Amino acid sequence: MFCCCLMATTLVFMACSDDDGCTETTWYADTDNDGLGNPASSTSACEQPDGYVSNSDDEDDTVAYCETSTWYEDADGDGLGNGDVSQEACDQPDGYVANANDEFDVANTRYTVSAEVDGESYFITIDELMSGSISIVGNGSEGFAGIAASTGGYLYILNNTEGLLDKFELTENGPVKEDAISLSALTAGGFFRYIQLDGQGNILLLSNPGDSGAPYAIVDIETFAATSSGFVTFPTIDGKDNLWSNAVVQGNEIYFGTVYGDAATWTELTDSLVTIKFDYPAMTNPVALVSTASAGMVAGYRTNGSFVTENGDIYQYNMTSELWYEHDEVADKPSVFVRIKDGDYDDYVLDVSAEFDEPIAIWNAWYAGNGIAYANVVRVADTPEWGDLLQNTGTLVEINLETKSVTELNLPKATFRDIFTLGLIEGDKFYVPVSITGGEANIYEITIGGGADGFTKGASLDGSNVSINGLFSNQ
Amino acid sequence: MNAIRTTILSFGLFFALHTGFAQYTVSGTVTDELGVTLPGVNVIIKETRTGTSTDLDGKFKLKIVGGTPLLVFSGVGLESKEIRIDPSYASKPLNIQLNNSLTELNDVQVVAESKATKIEMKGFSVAAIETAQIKAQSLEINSVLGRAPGVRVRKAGGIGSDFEYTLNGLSGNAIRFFIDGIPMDYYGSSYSINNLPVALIDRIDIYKGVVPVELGSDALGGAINLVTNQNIDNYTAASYSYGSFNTHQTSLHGQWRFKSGFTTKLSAFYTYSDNNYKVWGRNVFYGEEGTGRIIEFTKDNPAERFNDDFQTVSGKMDIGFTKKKWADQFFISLLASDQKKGVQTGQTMGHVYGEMRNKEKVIMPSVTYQKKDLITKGLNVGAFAGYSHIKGVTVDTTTARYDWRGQVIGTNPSGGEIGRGGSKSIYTLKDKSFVSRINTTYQLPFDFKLGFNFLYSDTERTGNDPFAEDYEIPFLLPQNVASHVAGLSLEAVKFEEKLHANVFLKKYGFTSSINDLVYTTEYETIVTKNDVSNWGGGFAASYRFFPNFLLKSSMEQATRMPSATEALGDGITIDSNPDIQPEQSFNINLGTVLGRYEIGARHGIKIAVNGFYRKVTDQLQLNVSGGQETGEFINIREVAGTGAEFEMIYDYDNKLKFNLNGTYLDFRNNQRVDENGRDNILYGDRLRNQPYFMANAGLEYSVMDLIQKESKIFTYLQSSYVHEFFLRWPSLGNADTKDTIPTQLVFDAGVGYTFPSQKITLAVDVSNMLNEQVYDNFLLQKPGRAIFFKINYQITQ
Repeated sequence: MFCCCLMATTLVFMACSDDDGCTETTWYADTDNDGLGNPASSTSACEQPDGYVSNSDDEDDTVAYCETSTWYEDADGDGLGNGDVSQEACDQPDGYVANANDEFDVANTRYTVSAEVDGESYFITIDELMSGSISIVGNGSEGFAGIAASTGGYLYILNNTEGLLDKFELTENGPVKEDAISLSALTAGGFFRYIQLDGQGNILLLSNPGDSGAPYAIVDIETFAATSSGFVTFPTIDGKDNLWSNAVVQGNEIYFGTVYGDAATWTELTDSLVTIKFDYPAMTNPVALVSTASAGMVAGYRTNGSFVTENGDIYQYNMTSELWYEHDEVADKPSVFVRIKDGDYDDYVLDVSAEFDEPIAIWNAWYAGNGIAYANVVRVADTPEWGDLLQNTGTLVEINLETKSVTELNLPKATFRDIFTLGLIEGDKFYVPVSITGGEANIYEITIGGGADGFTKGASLDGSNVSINGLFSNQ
Repeated sequence: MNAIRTTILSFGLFFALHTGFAQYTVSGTVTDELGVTLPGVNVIIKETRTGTSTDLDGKFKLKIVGGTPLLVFSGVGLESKEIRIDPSYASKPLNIQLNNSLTELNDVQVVAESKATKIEMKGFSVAAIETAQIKAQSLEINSVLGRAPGVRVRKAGGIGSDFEYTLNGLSGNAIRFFIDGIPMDYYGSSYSINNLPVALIDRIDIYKGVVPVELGSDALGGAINLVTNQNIDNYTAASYSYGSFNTHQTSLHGQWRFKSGFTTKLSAFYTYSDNNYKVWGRNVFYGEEGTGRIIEFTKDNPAERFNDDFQTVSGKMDIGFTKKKWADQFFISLLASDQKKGVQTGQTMGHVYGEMRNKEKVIMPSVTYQKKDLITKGLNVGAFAGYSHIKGVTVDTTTARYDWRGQVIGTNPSGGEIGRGGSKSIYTLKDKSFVSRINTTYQLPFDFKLGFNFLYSDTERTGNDPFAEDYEIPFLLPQNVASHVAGLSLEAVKFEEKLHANVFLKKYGFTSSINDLVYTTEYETIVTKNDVSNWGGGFAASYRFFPNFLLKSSMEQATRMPSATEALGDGITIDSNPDIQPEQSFNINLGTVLGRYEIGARHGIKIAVNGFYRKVTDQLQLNVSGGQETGEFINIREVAGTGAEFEMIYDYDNKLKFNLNGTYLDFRNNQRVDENGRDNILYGDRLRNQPYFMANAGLEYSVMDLIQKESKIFTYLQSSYVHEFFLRWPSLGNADTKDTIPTQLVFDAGVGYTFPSQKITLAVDVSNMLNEQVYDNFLLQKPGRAIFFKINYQITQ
């Protein structure tokens, strides 16, 4: 090696001495065009050759040099990074932020489980989902937390019993109430059915429309103060009013899934799917989006009827059953998934009904990521009455929105009617409670896109008449 | 239990050593000038200061050791009489007539067994409260009853607010209320135990667990019977009271009897209160403008209730005859009442209403008949028939929304404060009921008595609301509920009144016809009929081993049918439960009364101890869940519990009385395995939302001739304690963060001054003297310190 280098040096020397007047210098290759040369690849020339520079400062000539920074994961989308999970990069990676201000890393607080035991509501924070049992004997808090949101180490619970939006700090000794907002101070009547994080540092509260429109409130998470509240006024379409709504926020727009009909009787339902788009957070400029793919409600009932995927597309499912409307006007319409792309419905339709050889209805659906959604499907023949949805008549199907494949999971038959929130997705795992009426309630870990048997049974909930109505990640 | 056993053993030993011999027995009946039998009259052998008192029928029996002693007959409000007797009286019953008197005989009063004591002797677990001393005070019947052992009255707020009784661990609809033996359900909420002035009531009997047949009802937890003045003397009395929270109460009652026997009675009362007491703390807040962040009111800066006014006016007129050959009492009566009140909050103080109101009007005509010795001697008959029309209206039409500042904070065009964004509502509920009762007793030979009671009631209920769609209106179509309770009892008084025994059998019947609008392909009326009957029975017995030692025991197997609300819901916050089952209970009581023991000449002490067992299957309980503010009645499969109460009364010189009582309940979820075969994690858990330890202490002091001769001063100081209890199952959740109903310790006091004429009494009462923040129910604060002044004017002809 030494000999070789010596020879090279001799050659260079010789070349220089064998000159016709110019002075040769050493030029270093710059294949990544970042102005820095590769010390291991050089040439001598009087003039600077193309692709060469005079310095030899590039440590890696395959990647252009940039000023890197540390980026911290922001899994909960609250704008605060987790100091324990970071990466170095020149540009901000998706799901990462520049700060490490999210200091929430407390034992016994990874997950929140909202449950009903023998007719009473409790919630408990735990670290382990997949083994043992979840017991509220001597543990956990009283109250209904199925309609709640978790972010930054705090759990925000819509407490309609006391007319409050409660803020709980998640401590290793359990949730501790820190503050509250009066719901009746936000809108007259002070009742909200839905809560969500808008991804822009706010909690968004919504409810179904009444005579004065649909109540909404936007609460800034950092200051825990409402910044805007009031009623969303929906346009009348063909003399019909919006009967029910829930929404998703995408950028500076909010999309309300609806069902239009005659408000007094809940009849004369519109023969199409209707979404009303507003500017967000101003709640102005309503634009009606109409899809004729099916009919019924795209608001969702227990859970939101719309969700946004990673690329910004909005998918919706529709509810058609007479059980919900007490009318069979649209019961024969198919249960579908439709898509809103670039601000309007496109021609995407996934006909879930067509995958079954008997009438079905979708009651709940959740997006798990990677183009996969899970829908709670019931066979209409099993559910002649609303109450039958609390029997073990529900199944869960995996829906690949891209390939339009529908796979029924081989989970135990259970009720999925009263699941209000499912917000627990970690990596390629999605967690759902399977609450068997008259039997046990367990958390199941589902491998996203894992097919009919892609699940593992996890922890069970102690007690009689148990059911789990909400699962939250507090990370 | 060990203490009780020891007590029983030691008294048993004492009994064995006791010997006695009787020379002869005298017996007889004591009546007033009009021939009405007088219970509770003392019959004392003057030389020995021992004796007895007359029973409920005015009868007495007394053993005379020998000689010719002087018998003294005396009683409250009666002129006493002395009669010298000798052995010849053993064969001829005495008929003693006592005249009414204005002055009381203090010397023998303490020895007297009051009518209350007589009732307590009958074997039932019963507490009887005589109201004579407190009639002139500004006291609610609820608070008087709340001081009795085993009784807890839970109120939602101030005067006129909702209330619930707990008797020895059972509560709600398991407890039934009667006035002179007639169920009070049909009298409306104005003429109820919540509102009736204490002056109208002479005595209150509280039956715990085991209910005698004459109170015919499907009460399975107990019964409270208000007994009005049954004398036929002429009198007129009026009172007026004014006090805190702009509370005015007036009452007027009287009775006028003419020589012909024509008798009229009137009782009328009016109550008004702003109920604007101060509240603060959790749930009492308003939202900061703009941000909505809550700002809680504090004790130093409290909120004032502003839509809690209460007004009730009620009148009852009886016209008829008394003391005629064909009837001891025959009355045609008319009750009319009107009640209006604001509704301040929802189920907790978290929801504030500013304009919502309830109104109720009641008209109830009725007929009463009573006759002793009808047709044949020993056959006593009482009959009652009444028709009641109750119209209740809930007005919830405002579009305004309020907070605890009493301000309008916004409007909601949908209207309705409780409507939760639904709609305005004027909901009218009409109840038309027919109730009849027949009660007979027949005196059999050998001191046996047969009793029969039959109660029939039929209620039709309709509802209407001009703002609601037909299918949203509860009880739009008439719904009928009819029930009957028949009871047969055999009573025996044996061994010179030492033994009282009563066995009884009851049959319950319940039919309902419920019309519901149900949507299938179109709205149609579905009629649901329900027909249930059930048998029950039990016994009550007491034995007086010595004059100062009584043991008693009672037992009953009882059934209670679900009420309309429990089965059907109320259409607003309570959902229907089609699977609901009747509630059943098995109740046992065991008790002893020791005393009164004399300590020296002036001191006396009496102790009563009761133990009880209750086993309830399918107990009906309102279950609220899901954070949506609605609930339904469910059957708690199995609940069992024991409990004990203790009461001690000390008296001194017939002037001072000190009373101490305590109750401890150990009622638990008794279901090991749930209906699906899974272990019940709640097995053994104490019942939720039930007070389980409470105690009362009271001091009463009467002084005669203090300022003026013949005047009387009566004072009392009362304290009551209820230990903290959990709203939900105690074992579930972190105990540090659980919702509780906190411990309360409340002091009340009062003083009354009766002028020498005995016609005017002035009274002052202070309740919650220390101005404590107290709760009977979760987050429903009760009034703080309040003071009331009262003037009573009594005309006795």
